[in-house]
Amino acid sequence: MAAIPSVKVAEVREFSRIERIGTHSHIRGLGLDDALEPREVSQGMVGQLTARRASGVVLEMIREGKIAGRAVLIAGQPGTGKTAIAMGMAQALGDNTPFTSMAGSEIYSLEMSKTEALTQAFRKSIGVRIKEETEIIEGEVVEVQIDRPATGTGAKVGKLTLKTTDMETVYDLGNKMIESLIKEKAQAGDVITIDKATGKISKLGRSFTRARDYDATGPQTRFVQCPEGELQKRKEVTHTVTLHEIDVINSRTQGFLALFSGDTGEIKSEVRDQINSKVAEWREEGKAEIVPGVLFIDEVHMLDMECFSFLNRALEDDMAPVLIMATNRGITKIRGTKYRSPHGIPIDLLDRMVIIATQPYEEKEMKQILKIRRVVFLSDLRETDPNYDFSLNRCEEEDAEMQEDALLVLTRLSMETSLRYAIQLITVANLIARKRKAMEIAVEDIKKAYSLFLDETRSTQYLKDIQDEFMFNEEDEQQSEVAMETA
Amino acid sequence: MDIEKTQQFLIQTETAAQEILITKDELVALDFRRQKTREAFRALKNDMIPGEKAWMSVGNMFVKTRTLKAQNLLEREMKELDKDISDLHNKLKEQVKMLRDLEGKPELKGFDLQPITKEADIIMKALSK
Repeated sequence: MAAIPSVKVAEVREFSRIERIGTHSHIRGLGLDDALEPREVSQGMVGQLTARRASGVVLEMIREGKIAGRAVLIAGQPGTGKTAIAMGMAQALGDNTPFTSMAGSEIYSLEMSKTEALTQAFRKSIGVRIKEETEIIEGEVVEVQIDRPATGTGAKVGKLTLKTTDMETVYDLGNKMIESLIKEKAQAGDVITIDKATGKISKLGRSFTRARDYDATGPQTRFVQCPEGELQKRKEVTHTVTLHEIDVINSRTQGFLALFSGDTGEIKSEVRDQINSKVAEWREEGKAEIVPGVLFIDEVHMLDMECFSFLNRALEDDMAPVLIMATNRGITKIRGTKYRSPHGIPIDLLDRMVIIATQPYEEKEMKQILKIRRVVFLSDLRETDPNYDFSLNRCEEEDAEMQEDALLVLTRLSMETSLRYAIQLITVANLIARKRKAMEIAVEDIKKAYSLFLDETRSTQYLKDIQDEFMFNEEDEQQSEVAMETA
Repeated sequence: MDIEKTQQFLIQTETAAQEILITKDELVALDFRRQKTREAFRALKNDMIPGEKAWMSVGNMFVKTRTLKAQNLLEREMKELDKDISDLHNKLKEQVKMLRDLEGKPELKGFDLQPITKEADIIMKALSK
């Protein structure tokens, strides 16, 4: 006789599992060992040792909660792994710490003011840990006995016999309980849970020992083991919610809907004050813990002077997350003023920050990154393309998908142009290779891709040569530049 | 030197784990008594007529007492059992904490929090809708 599977899983193609490849989808962590020393190639990160070591130290401080309310700036040339380090930190922190990621320009929205957007972002990064405790009765139903009164009207009475592997007992049932049992269709052999406080009954499944009772069971039937231990257990569940979620729930009657539609609007400061005092009260009584998280603002030079003043103040709040910022600008104008400053950030804010610098990659580091990206790209392709040949080996091996000299050419290319351009070429070259029915990317594929798609330098050069023939060329451009400055 | 240390470590962790298992068994036994006491209380309430005497087993002895007295006895015992189980739960938590400490595992988050079931319920219900 065939064994009956314990869990019936619906036949759904795993669309939800395939993550779209992003630029940083190959990063799993910072790649540090136990002594916080960075390994050369690990968890998707390559090179950039000083910056990674510094981020590791910041990470430890975040974990111990010692850096709440401080700011970190990751600065470096374009394409040096700033966002990658932030992603690595997010992965390394895990699910327990709230990590909010945003771009500087997201602040500007018509629906809410800049300070409101920043405050919401701050409060999304602070978690509150709470616990709920319930007493539940969990056991396998041995017998359900319901007596209807002979007179027709009148309350039903009943007895429910529940057992676990260690004990068995009988419960007297009241009318409401009998109704719930009938509604849940609880029968002998079902494993049920009764919440003592609310009286809610939920079915966990059928007991294994009763699997042979019927020859055929419906598709929803799940078989579970008979519960062990005591019948009446105490269950404790810990939840981590963010301050923003609590704000939204409390700011309107239908608050929870707003969480999903995104239309939170402006939340009054009285509501926030109330919530702050409530959470502080819980902290005193030991009923809640604050989990300071991380707010990552990319392209922070897009924030203007008002935002920076607000940040100065907000960082001094006693409930402030760790602020990690990233920018690739050098000495530029602070948006909203006409003064120049390093990274486009005012000096007083820079003073409060710890700055991590990133360096451009060397050739062998670029080669490693290209190899890793090639693995990511190809493993994703395998899942989405039904025609892909599964007999090919996994691309950990050198010669499987890209020839060695092709990789060298690509590396040389990335040194001359940029890392991002080379990563894009992998996708294109792979398609070209498949078009000519080859298994591996060869040098000619890369050459063809290079000729088809221009990189930034070549495009600028090309433009300089024939710009007269493009619309709105230089004389008009000067006028539009002036128009942008005043915006 | 290393072997002795390992032995020491093993003795400590095994003792701690054994204590946890003993506490768990105690909990099961207490719950068993609680359920039986509850059944007895129910039986007295439903079937017996007040004023009459009923037979009750106390440990290994059978005692004939008035139903009211029997009910009071049972109620008191249930209250005591609830308190004992509560205490045992707290003891279990401490023992688990100690074992995790010995094993060098990180502290469980939110272990020592006081529960706030009412508010937590509201929040989680609102969030999961």
